[in-house]
Amino acid sequence: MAHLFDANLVRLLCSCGLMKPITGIYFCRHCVKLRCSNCVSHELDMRYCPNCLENMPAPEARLKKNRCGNCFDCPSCGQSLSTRLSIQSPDPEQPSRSIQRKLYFLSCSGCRWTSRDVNIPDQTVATGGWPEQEPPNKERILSLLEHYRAVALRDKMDRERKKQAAARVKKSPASFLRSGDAGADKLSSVSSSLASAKKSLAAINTYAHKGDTPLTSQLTPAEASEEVEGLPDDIFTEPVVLAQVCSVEQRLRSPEQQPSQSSSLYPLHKHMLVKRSLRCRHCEHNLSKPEYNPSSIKFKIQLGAYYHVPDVRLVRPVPLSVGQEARVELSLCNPTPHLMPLALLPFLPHLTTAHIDAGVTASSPGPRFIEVPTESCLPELCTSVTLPQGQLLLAPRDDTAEYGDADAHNSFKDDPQVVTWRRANKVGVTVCVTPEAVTDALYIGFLLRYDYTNNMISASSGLSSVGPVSLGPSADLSSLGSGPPSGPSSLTPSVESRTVTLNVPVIIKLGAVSASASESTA
Amino acid sequence: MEVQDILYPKAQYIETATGNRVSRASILCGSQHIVLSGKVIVLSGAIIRGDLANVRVGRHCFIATKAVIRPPFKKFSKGVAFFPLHIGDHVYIGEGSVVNAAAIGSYVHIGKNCVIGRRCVLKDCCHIADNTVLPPETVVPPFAIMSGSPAYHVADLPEATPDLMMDYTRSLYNHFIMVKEVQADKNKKSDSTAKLVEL
Amino acid sequence: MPLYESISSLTLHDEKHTTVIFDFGSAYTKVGFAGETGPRAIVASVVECPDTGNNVPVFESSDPQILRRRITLFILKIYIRCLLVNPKERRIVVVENLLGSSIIKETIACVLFRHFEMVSVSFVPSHLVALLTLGVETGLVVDIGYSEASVIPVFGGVAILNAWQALPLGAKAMQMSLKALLEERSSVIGEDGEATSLQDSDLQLLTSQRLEDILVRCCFVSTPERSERLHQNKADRSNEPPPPPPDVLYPLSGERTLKISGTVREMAAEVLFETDADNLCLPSIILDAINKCPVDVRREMTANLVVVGGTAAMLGLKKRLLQELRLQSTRGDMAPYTFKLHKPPVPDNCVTWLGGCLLGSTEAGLAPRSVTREQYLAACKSNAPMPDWSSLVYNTQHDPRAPA
Repeated sequence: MAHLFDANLVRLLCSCGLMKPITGIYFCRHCVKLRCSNCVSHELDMRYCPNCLENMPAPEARLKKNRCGNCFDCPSCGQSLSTRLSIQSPDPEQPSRSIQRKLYFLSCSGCRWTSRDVNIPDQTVATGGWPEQEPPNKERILSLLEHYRAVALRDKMDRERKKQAAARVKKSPASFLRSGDAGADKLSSVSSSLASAKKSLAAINTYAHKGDTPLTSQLTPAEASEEVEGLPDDIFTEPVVLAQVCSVEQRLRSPEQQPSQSSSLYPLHKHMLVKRSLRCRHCEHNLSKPEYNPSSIKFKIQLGAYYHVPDVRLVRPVPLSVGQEARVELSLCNPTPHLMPLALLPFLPHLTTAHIDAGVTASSPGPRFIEVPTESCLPELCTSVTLPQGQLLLAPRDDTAEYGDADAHNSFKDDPQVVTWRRANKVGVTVCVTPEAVTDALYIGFLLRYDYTNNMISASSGLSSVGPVSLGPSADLSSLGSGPPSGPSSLTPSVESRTVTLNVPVIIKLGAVSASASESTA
Repeated sequence: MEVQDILYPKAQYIETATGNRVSRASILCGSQHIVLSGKVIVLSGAIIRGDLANVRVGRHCFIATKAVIRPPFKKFSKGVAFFPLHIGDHVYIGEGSVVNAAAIGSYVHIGKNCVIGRRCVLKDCCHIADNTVLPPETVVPPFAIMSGSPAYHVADLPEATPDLMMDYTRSLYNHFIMVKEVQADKNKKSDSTAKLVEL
Repeated sequence: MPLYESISSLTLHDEKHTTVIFDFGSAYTKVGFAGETGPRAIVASVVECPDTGNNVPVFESSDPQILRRRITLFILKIYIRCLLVNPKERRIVVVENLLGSSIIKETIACVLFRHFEMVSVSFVPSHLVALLTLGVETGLVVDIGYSEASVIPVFGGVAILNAWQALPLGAKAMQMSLKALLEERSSVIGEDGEATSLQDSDLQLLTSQRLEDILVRCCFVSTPERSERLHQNKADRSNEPPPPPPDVLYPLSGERTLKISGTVREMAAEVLFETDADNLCLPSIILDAINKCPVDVRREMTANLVVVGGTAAMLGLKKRLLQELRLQSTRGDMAPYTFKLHKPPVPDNCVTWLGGCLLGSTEAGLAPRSVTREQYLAACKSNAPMPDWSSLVYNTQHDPRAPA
């Protein structure tokens, strides 16, 4: 939950070079790489109305311009309109109509706008039949569309005929003989195009005779006028009533009408929302796929990094001041159901970014795969950071732990220098930071090296280094920010779970650094 | 950030068999119509109007100080009727918010000082930002973040929200630690709210 | 499906292949589908900055990386909130200003091809396609947008590029002028009902959106006669100003109400007609553009003025522009021309979009003008990805396919 409020405190470096909070990152199990919304392809699965939560199939959505047929938005404030009932009591002047009539109108509960304000007649049925608004000059625009379509088609036919004619000329022995003479060739092509032009005219005539759609459509060009609508006469004398003039938002809500007076506002059909799935561009596997039911919050496929990468959080805000060592407590949480060895290594941005660039150029793109340009947005990182040394073991996630009282505390022989506390699948570690200068936001970075157990059928060769993570400065930095080095060796499909060592760069924003210690305590 | 510990004096809270922790300074009207499903925390000054209609609150919910939960009514030609209010699991209702909704799904987060209008429907997994006013009869779709007055759908929540909310409400409960006496300053604070409510 | 077939035959292609038309503007972006009568949405060109969470303008950055990130976010937002179609594998028409920045153009192309894997993208010149909406081939197109006003004459469907004119006169300039005028001549009524001059806190409330709202709802472009008198009054207070239009009370926040004086309402748009240090203003650059055209086409140009862009919708602007043109043309040594203005079939801010839409709905007309993904990727290696009229590469050899 911490991520909902201060999402930008702890961020991971995605394989494309962008920093994103863990909830914005996905973990492709097939490429064994981090992906984010910047470097995956988005697909729209279904459209639904946010008010009635009903699914709308694509053809219908296209026809209705992605708007719900039954739900309306207020044209004035944009909130949902609700249908109100008013009962028309029998008219005293017409005693013959003694039956009560139910009449419905639309009303906004947010700003009290009603359909009666703009003289839309009340309806006798609750579910609609509301008159629709046609865009002004619709006929003219449709005829323009028709006209240009015909013009373009004629152009295309002309071009094709010309091509054919040219080809014929080329093939004919006469042109073959003359091919040495460039000028003559040009002439012949001109004459042939003339001929084709004549032919196209003939073609049009025949079409016209048959009563088919004519290829030349008659369009009267617009007439310019010397006079334009000026200011209203009373503008210099009449006061402006702000409530009667539409705001920009109200105008742009209906792009085709753009009403300027609030008396011409009209209920708007509710715009649809979508559910989308994400797909890895590299291996075309789904990273996230929601269920079809609009009100469901479940996913058929969900490869969020939150479920696969250890979650790093700040435990509490730390006051920072220049030159003073601050102990920053972090919590690490294992989201996977496997034991996870883990270590924190120093993060060397230049090495990592160099690797990202190298990775992009080195990987052989598939036939239709297009490389997304890499980003670089790393902030200035604090250099004097002391990371906890040694290896940690994170207990597997256990959903039943909440109900039982099983205590797993003693099964791990923790170095008290490294682990400050341990609770179920979480441990706390301390990082010592000495800020060097006054800044608004101090960033620290480190590399999270952990063993990930990938239990799925995969054809990847894998660098199955089951066992303790190699540590120390001599650690192999060649696989920074990426998965295992993709070697072409032994591409055997494996069903059993494979353990791979992954390195995830983590960047933490610690907050402002004050000038002296006394200030921060005050 | 991880959730910080909230200390509470034992004397001011009642803990039920199912693990609900309800402040003595909260007002539960018509408590026979209120169901708290377990591990629900109700802070001081919160008001739940069970006297109007049934209120059912799911597991692991958190109702902050001075929040008002009040079943919605609907006007009919022959009078006014109140409808029961159901709140799902892992729901957080922030300080000073007034909830008049018809239904609230699970994993919903309502910020501080919000007004949830009459008969609103909050589907699972949505987020109402601080100081938001939802007009009556609004439907909030899943994964929506609503903000503003009147509220607009401004952004979407990440896919992992159910788990984040679950983690959050659970750790709120785990960090809600009972102590015999809270230090003087904190005691004063809770006293003042209690007084305010009594007034 | 057969049921819908007859109705949707207007769009010719099925949903999967419908061309998407973008008209990116520095303040508002217009998007929609080919074959429709208007854009689906007009959205403010802002995205949420991932670092700060604030809304930032999409196109106001010179760093190509930041620009690309913002454009990617922006296009994604448009697709999932407005268009609701799969972004991949589509044809795109982007209506571009010929005088726009080529970095922005290249970044848009890069985002569309690389991030969204479009089939083909065509950049169509906005001034040219604006004429399509009228069914004419000749006209002087004046595009008054947010950050600048640009003039390009078009004759027989060909832009007369050497006669282009542009000035940073648009809604942005008017907003600045309005803010200065408000500071100088308006007051704020507090909760206690007392009017004071604007405080710093009030000026902070005058965001760009609010200034825009004031311009749209309260301000107008005055007549030349009144403007003359106002200017005389400004220079010399002894001259009697015309009686001002009524003041407007505009709520700034719950407690503060802005009292916009009538003179401010009238004066805010004057910035478009006041000559700058180079003696240029909106009417003068239009006349300059006409004078730069060949003599034979000038009469055609003045008789076919087309004023487009969101700012052109300002109350009274077109009328004033015509009046000023007539006035200023008689002052100079120009031959007497008749000035005539076209009235496009859609609101002023959608005209260029509709032009792109008309072009985009004709697959046959679009194909020769577009760059396909393969062409783009191949061209990327040669370091000149998008054809551009200003690049010599596309102008040395005669290529009928090159736009403009």
